[in-house]
Amino acid sequence: MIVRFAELIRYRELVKNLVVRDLKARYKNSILGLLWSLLNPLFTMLVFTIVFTFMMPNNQISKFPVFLLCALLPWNFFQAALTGCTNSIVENATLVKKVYFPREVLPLSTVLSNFVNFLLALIVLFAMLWAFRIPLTRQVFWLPVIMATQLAFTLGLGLILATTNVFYRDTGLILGVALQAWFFLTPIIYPIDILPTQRSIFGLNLNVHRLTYILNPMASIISSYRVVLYHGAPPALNFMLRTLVTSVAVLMLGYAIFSHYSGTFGEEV
Amino acid sequence: MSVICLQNVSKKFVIHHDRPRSFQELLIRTLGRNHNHSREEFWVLRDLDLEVEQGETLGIIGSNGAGKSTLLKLIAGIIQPTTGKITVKGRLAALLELGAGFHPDLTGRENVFLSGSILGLTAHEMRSRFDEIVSFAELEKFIDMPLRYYSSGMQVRLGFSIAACLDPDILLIDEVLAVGDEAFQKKCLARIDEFCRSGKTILLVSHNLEAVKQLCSRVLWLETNQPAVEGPAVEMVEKYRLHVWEEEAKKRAHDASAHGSVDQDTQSVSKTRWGSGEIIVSDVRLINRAGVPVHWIQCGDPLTIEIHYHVQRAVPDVVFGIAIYRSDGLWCYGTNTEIDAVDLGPLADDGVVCVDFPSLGLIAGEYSLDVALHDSDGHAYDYWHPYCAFSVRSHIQDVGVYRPAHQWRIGERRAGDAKEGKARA
Repeated sequence: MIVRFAELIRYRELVKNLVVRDLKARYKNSILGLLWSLLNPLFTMLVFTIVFTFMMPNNQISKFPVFLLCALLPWNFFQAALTGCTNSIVENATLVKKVYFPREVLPLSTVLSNFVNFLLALIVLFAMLWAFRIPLTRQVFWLPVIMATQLAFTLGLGLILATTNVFYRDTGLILGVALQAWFFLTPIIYPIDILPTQRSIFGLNLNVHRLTYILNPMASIISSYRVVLYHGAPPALNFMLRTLVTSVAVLMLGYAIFSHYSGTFGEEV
Repeated sequence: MSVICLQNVSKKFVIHHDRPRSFQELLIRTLGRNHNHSREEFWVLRDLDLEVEQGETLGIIGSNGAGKSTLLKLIAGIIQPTTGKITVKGRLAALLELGAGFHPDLTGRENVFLSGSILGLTAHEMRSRFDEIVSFAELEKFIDMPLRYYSSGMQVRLGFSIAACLDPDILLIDEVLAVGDEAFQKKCLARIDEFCRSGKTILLVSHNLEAVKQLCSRVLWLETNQPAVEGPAVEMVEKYRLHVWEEEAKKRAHDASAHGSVDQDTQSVSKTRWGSGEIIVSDVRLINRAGVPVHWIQCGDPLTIEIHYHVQRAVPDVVFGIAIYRSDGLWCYGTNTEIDAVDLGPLADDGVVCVDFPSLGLIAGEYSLDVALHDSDGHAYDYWHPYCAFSVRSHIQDVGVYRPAHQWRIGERRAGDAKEGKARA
């Protein structure tokens, strides 16, 4: 594992170049390239805002567009990175079959190029915060920690799915459906506080609020973004740390699974 | 010091004929009763031991599917051996494909850096070699254009130039010489020759046997279901050629017995032989200067092609034809008794028709011979495409297709030329 990691560091140049390749290819083809990736979340935000303020007017959340955007941008990053990761090995089949390099370079560079995209999109978010007169507090300094947590979780899961996709090609299709469900199970278009702490299902008394936090690391990550940016409050440390540990565990598990199977990618893909 | 060492290396490929390729199939398979897992195993390499010394150039030859590319992929680490151990010392570059990882939207310059880093170079190393790469590819004018506007030839040139400027300790090359035009191929060969002389270790897979003989000191010959053998390049190449020749002869004999020499069908009998069968080719021999049947000749030597025929049913109108193709499919020469206005007269039931070449001027290489019996309208009685392969050898390293008789003179001009020159001036 350590040997593999050292090798990955030797190939950092390749990771950098692949990230640059992804970004350049994305933004080169159209002048609107960069603008488009900023407009896309704004448009989604607009739709949800119309639905939740005009069509369902009993919405109590103030400054709903910003409330939504704080969660939507990290989610978009998660979704794009995970989908990209899943296809990264299969899409680069010719490369994998013909050239030797540490295979984890491919999912890693996909996550990173989507991360750069996310950082660019944050410009829009900060502009919106300013426009809606929401002041930035010192809590913003939590952002790197939250981002690191999300990166670890996304990459870990991405490594597992990339491996699965080599052997079972409908992983990507299943992921599409799963992500849609996951979107609604994560507090993005609603605040996490509305989840009930007591709910009886089939005679079982469930704390849905707590369960969501525990079972869905994305819930914790997304609401941390919102707490820090929208509410300007410190994140719930207890859950934040737990999520960080979970994410690192997922990353290590993903790396282990990926390393175990990556030797056969050259012939299986 | 050996830089590549293979001990007992075997590689098994398993083909699962009905392995589920998706979760959907997996589910259906599990629910259904159909549990017969038919899997086919085959060994591509078996217990291969190989040591390659520092600075050595090893050629790898063998028929298609014998495991040449698999061997290179194993050494490069792209796939893992089923059993055995492979140790490689030094920096290795594998050229299994030129221009791996090129992206059409990026410029030539960006692609050079990308491709370099895929092959394991740092940005600093790439910068110091960049100018050399571009000038070797002769693409100075186009280097800042997106790759999508490059012709495929330009892309290949760029790909090879990156590879050529890599400067690894060990270089694995798989048939990349088969690309580009002839001039570029020569340039590539010269570059590889340079690598050899500068003490690099090279493993070369190629079907260009003459190039293998020129470049390699030692050759490893892989064949399906046979133990691998290695030895001096010239000896191994000749052994391999003999093997190919024998296999072809076996196949011909098999075809003849399987399809019957009295085939009435005008449809093709097989891809390599067709015709209505009134008169058939029973044997073809290549005869050298000494009158001995051979399957290779020296460039410039005389050659006689003997076509032995057998008449099944007498036909009035028979044309004997031959054609020579180079191994890459180039049609070098073709003629027949009609073109050359040869009067065959009445044919015996069994007989021989010979073509004498006082001096066959083809340059060194691999060729194949077509033999055809047809009528003057082109209706085939017995058409072989190809009949057999043969090779031409030469000590001279000239290029092109054939070697017209010629000589060089120095100083004096011929009287006629001098006058003409003056008139033009």
